[in-house]
Amino acid sequence: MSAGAAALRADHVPRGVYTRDDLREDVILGCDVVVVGSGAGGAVVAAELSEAGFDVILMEEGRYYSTRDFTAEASAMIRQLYRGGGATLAMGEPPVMYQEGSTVGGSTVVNGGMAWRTPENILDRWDREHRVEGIRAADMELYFERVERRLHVRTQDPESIGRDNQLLKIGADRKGWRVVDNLRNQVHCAGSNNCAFGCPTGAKQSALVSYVPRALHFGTRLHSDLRAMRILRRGKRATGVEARVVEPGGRLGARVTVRARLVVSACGAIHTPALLARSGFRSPSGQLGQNLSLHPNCKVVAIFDEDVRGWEGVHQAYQVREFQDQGFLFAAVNIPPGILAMGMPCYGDALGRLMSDYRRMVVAGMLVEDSVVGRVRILPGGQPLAFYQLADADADKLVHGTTLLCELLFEAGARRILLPFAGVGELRSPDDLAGLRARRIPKSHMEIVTVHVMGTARMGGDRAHAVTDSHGLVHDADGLMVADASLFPTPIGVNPAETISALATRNAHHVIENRRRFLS
Amino acid sequence: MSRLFGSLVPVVCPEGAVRLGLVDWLVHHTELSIGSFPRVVRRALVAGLTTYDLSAAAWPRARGRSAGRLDPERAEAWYRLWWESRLLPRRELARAAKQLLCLAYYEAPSVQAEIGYAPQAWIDKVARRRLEVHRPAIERHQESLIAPDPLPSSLTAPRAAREAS
Repeated sequence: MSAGAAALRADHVPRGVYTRDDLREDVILGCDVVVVGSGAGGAVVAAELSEAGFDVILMEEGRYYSTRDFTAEASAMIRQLYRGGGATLAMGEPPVMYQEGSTVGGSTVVNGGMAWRTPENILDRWDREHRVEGIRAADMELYFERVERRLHVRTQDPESIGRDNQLLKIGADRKGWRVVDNLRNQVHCAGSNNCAFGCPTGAKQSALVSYVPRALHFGTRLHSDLRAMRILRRGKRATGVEARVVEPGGRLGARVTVRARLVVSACGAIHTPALLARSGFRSPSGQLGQNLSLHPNCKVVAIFDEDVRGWEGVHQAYQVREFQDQGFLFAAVNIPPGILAMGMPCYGDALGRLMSDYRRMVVAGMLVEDSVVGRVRILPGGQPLAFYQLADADADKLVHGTTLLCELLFEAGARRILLPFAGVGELRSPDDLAGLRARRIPKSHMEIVTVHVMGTARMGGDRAHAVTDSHGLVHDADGLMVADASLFPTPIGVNPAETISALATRNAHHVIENRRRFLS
Repeated sequence: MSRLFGSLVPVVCPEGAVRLGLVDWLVHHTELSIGSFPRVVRRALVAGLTTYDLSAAAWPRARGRSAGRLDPERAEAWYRLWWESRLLPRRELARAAKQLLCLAYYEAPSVQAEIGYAPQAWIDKVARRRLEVHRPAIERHQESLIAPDPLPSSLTAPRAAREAS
């Protein structure tokens, strides 16, 4: 192994990474391109542009943690790796808990590592309805291929698949439903089942261990612990970013001014619209912060007679795609006992009795392609607050999908199933499903979460309807690009990380091909 | 908040919290979690918990005591009033308190041992096996991550071809 490759191991703060310890006084920095956010979009843009010879500064609000920092201590990891300690909520009925990574590598450090291309029908829709240029599957093929090569996208090695996923597949097979092996960005993932708290083996190819090291290798300067306060501007031209060092406890420290010819916002679909809005950029479309979609998720907990030990084996080895054309899919998603207990419908010794079966539990979730949009509003002071009202049709879909998922789990041998609907008792047999189907469940009784937040600065060919052009350049502004899930004109119905990275590659390519324009 | 959380532990957590001597640990853990929340959430939570604590004094069975000073039986009854309340904010506050304390409870190594949850041993085992079996492939991939591979101009070929046609 060469010395260069050794430096890639994220078990120390590598050369080129500057933390809050390096920034004790106000400072002014200069570069060609400043990128805000180091996740699936930002790290990709930084790596591609650095390799093409651009001088890049990559800015991340979270801390730099390395592979060896990641453990199974779920609550400690949540405090360190998630924005707001995981307590982030879209207001509505029901409120939707959403989660974003806040660490070098962004949400890719805490996601499940799923790597799916944007479905062709979605790309066709973006082309047809939103006039996004060069977005058809044939146009995107080489961008997807490039990302998949970089992230080593593969199905799981069979020995890494745990019993919970096997049971999901058994149930689907018995029902005759379509199951696919999940594609994941991983290098011989060992099945440690710690994806959501940072991969402790480095197998998951998060941006932290893939694009970030690549960007550093080609000269990117990475500043962690740096919160972008606003984009600097001269008229409609973005000229850099004003940031503050985030000190322990969240206190803001030294002021850092980064002057750049191109500013790239890649801080996610909640914070990108906030950053643009508080910097005074207004979209003529009126769509900045609108069009929020979030793939509502809910989960059921099935209890089996056998020991499942769901933590032994990979997170989501399979997806049940039988109902994808109806807009939902299923997967097994083991959850540590502390987090699982939070959602249980009881407390005290009743909770203790329930959780004593933890070893026999299979947690399975469903993801819904939403049919309604919410929005991100900017509070006085510039912080964002998300609003999202679950559509009646999507609520029906959640109940219908949950019923089907329970059918699958009973088919696999489940003895009891706990539902994500307050006030609805557990199911003891398939016969109980008829009652669930007939029951009207108020939206306020649904427990919904998400990790897919999209669409608040959508791209498109028509400036009257889109915030950015087809390559993420903000309409009615100069030198300002978006490179995250904000760009999605619609939800995509599958895990979004690969789409974000492919679009970021495409946007970076546009910059490289128009180098003179961006460096003038 | 420490006193209030301490009084809530025997109510919302399984009996192991007291039996295993975890009360102080749980309170500390819970306060760490709250400290990491966004300021607006933190403030709302503290305001809600303060209301929960002080408003108990107006409950006849409390005889003027705050929730944090109630005996276990009355503490459970007061908590249940909030847990089953028709008022959404009261219900949500009760759930939030339970969620925070129970998250901490099931993070305690002694509790995890009781339910047979041993993730770190599993991680250590499979991480070792991964390196034993796949080290060459892992190193090849790491090398590839820094190998030059600039975006080629041929990437525009599909679009150019379509435009030409």
